[in-house]
Amino acid sequence: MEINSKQLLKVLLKAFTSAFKWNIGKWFISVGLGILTSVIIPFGKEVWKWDYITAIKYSAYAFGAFYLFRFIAIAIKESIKYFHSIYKESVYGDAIILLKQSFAEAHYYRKTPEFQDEDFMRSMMVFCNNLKIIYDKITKSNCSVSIKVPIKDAKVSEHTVLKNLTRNTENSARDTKKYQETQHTIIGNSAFSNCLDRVLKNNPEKFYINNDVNNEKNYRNTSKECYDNQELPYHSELVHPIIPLKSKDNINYDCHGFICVDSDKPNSFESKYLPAILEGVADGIYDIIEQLNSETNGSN
Amino acid sequence: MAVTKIQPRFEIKEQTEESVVYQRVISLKGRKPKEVEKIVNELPTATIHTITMEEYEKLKSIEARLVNEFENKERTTLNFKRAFFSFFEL
Repeated sequence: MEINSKQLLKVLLKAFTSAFKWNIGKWFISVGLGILTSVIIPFGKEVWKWDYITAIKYSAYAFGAFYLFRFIAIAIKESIKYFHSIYKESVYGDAIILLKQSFAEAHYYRKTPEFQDEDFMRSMMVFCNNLKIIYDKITKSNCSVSIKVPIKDAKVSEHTVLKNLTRNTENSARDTKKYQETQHTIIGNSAFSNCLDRVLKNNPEKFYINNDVNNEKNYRNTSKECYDNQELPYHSELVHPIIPLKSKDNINYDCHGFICVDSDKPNSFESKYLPAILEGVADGIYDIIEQLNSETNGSN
Repeated sequence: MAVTKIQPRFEIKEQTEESVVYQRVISLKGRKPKEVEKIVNELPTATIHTITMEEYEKLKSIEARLVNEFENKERTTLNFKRAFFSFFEL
């Protein structure tokens, strides 16, 4: 986190002036006169044999102490506000920078006429790795990001199989042999079938969020069988279909798969900003998979 | 937050060599065939584009090659980060 010393000085200055911003009458009655008349003069006279000047002097000290207390309290409050805003700015600011990098990679791939499959995969992996950093920071949990693509099968049906194209590097160990061999169908997974259902209903929100996957009764997930006790290594899930943000008629969508984010903590995903990030990325990924497919089909 | 619960009700409208077109299933009860046809024609569709297993395997082999590159990059960044934060006790 980068701390701006100028801003911090501003915060302290604000606390310094704010500490004074108390009605002068209040200062005088509650602090000055109050202490002088009710405590210091009688008590000082009786115990320490003070004269009036000494009592006033101690009253001024008390005034100073009150001011200092008020200043520190306000400075703490303002600093917390400042650091909170810095933290928020840095989380979403970093997200913008990482997304810019990811899209730069994707656009480079799109703009290069003699692109290679390696460039395509690199750009997919950059998206997954950067999205992981973004979602880790925002959700304050350990997230995993993957891209699933439908595989052409001899028998095309509702049981269309999806395979993991790539996953963020840190969580790549999840793609075990068993995981790869499992038939991950659209119908067998609540996330995919719900996303597809939403597309087919032309629902403006096409994402799927489940914030407690291990305790949801009707939740289907073909990955469960790959783990001990059929318990998934995550608790929350956010999935978005890889479709364009806008289509020609906004009724008929082309879909190239799904982008999935999961988190090891329950209740990780809110439904406003986090799906919006994924929606934008899905739109970008759609273009490059579309380009890969058209090049592949064109070259065949 | 509420968990999304939607029972998927869709079917394959058509399929080509490299794609599958999905459409919602509508209830036929109390509807005339012409009415059903009109509704079905206006229903949104989703075309799922597939890739061949060969293409997929080719991409996965590229990924396996690139993973090392990414892991090395990540490890360097993480070490530097860890050293920085532990030095300044942040």
